[in-house]
Amino acid sequence: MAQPSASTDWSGRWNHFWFTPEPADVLALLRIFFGIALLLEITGATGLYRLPHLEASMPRHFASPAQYPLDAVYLPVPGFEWLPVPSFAVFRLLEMVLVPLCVLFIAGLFTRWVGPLLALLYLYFFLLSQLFYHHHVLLLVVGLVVIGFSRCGEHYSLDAYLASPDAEPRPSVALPRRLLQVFVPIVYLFSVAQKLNDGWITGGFIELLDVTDRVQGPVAALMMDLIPYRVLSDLTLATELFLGIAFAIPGLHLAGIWVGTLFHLGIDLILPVGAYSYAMLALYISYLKPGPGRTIVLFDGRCGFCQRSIRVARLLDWFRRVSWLDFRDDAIARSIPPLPLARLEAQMVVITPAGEVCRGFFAWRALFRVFPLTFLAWPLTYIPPVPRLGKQVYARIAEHRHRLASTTACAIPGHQVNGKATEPWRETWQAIEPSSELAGSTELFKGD
Amino acid sequence: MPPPDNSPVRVHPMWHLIPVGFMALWIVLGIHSLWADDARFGWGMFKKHVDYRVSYSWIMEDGTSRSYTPADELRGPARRLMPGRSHWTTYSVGAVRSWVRGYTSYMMEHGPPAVACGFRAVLIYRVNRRGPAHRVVIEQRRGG
Repeated sequence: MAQPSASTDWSGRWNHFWFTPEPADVLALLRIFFGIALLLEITGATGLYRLPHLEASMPRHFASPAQYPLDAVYLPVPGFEWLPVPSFAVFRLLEMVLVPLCVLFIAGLFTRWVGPLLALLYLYFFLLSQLFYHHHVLLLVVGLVVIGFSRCGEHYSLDAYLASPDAEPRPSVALPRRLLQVFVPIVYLFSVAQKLNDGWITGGFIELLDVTDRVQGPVAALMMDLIPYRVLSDLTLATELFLGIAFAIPGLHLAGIWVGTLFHLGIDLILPVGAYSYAMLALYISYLKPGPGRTIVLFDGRCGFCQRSIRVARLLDWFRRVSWLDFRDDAIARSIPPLPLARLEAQMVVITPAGEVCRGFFAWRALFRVFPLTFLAWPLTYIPPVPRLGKQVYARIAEHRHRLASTTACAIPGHQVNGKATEPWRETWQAIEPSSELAGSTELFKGD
Repeated sequence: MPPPDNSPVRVHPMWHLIPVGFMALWIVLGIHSLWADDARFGWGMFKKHVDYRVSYSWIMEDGTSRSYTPADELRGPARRLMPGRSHWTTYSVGAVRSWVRGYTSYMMEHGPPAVACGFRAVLIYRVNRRGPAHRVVIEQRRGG
């Protein structure tokens, strides 16, 4: 789709913003987390406020036969009166199909067909009737349509796992990710604009939420007792305004993600809002940079066992914090100074963004800190005797790794060097501690 | 691999319709939502608390009206339009008006009495339980 061309400044910026080719791994993360949000919605397993009593149905049925509205007054969405209205039996069948489709979508199997099909089916449900309207359903529809029609199955998917080992993942363009990036601040800013009324400015609306028992759960009771309605109201307006601005300004994205995460978890702790909070948090993934991060892993591309370990580790690197450099790769070798190969072959090396060089067990410990799934376990690796045992286990595995390796181990591509002096891993290399034997190699980067 | 950040890219002009249309859609829907006081489609989560009651009547050709109580056509989520009881919503007044208008259209399309020339809904609502109650009459006339 995208081809290089000379262009004027503004149109060049426009094209670059929307249509720059980029890896599709962020879209894959969006697929997984947004798919989970949808699964929680269609099974009814939402609401932290009722966590001890949370239940899931497969699926949660919208209506019983006696309460099925589509064969009576169903108030079609204006402009979509032409949509065929299903009988109750067909409606139930479509509801049943939604769950397996969603599971396939999350797993990334047949994603090219499942993604669009799931998006269209959910869109169809949404557009059938005004009676089906909920803000969280609309949010899920928008996200599903954008993600479902993108190349979200190229990474972290069964499709990618089952593809030929030689098949290179196809790059995507920035468009789907950018659409979601633009969409998030629009949602927040309109939400604030809608709330600029007497009820919110005086705190009366929050009071009504309380007295009509719409705030629920133990946290809500405590919050309503401790914090005046007016303060809660002002806090909500200020937070939404901040989020609208933060997600529109690149330098404030990270602050927006932290504030927004606390905000939505807070909402989900006190209010029944379906999967709204989860879907919104999933959309924050669109703000992750698709390029690799500043933590460097130097691995041996000729060692089958190492490749297998790295393959698993890369699956855990959801937020692309790590640049995986195969030190046997010719392009990498040309880009960096000669390395102490014997030391690198003996143990895996991780270089943290601060320039700390970690080996073996300590290298894995450094990776534990950057992977979301292992982050909480990371402090445990400092408690004695874990470091001592870890070193022993690592040494033993490293000693026998050639026996553990399968002869059919597939080669995995490391990070490919594209000649950009601004690649994050080069900054890390420059920050390597002077005491490290890798430190001398920084000399070559000083002219970049 | 993607080209360096400063590489210009060119796409078919039709592709530009996607971001332009996407942004226009959500901005127009948001502004319409504010203008119509209907929180739906405009991200007005918990905009206003509106308590409302609604009653219905057929408008006869002789100018009189006859009260109407729905049979079983208001089922499931459509029960929010049942007369004789109070309902509430946070989608604001525009959404209630839209639902009631939809119901009056339905009634005129699905077998009005021969002597009726229209269907009338009277909506009484109060916003955030403050201030006076408002009364709105929504009518659907035969052929209108």
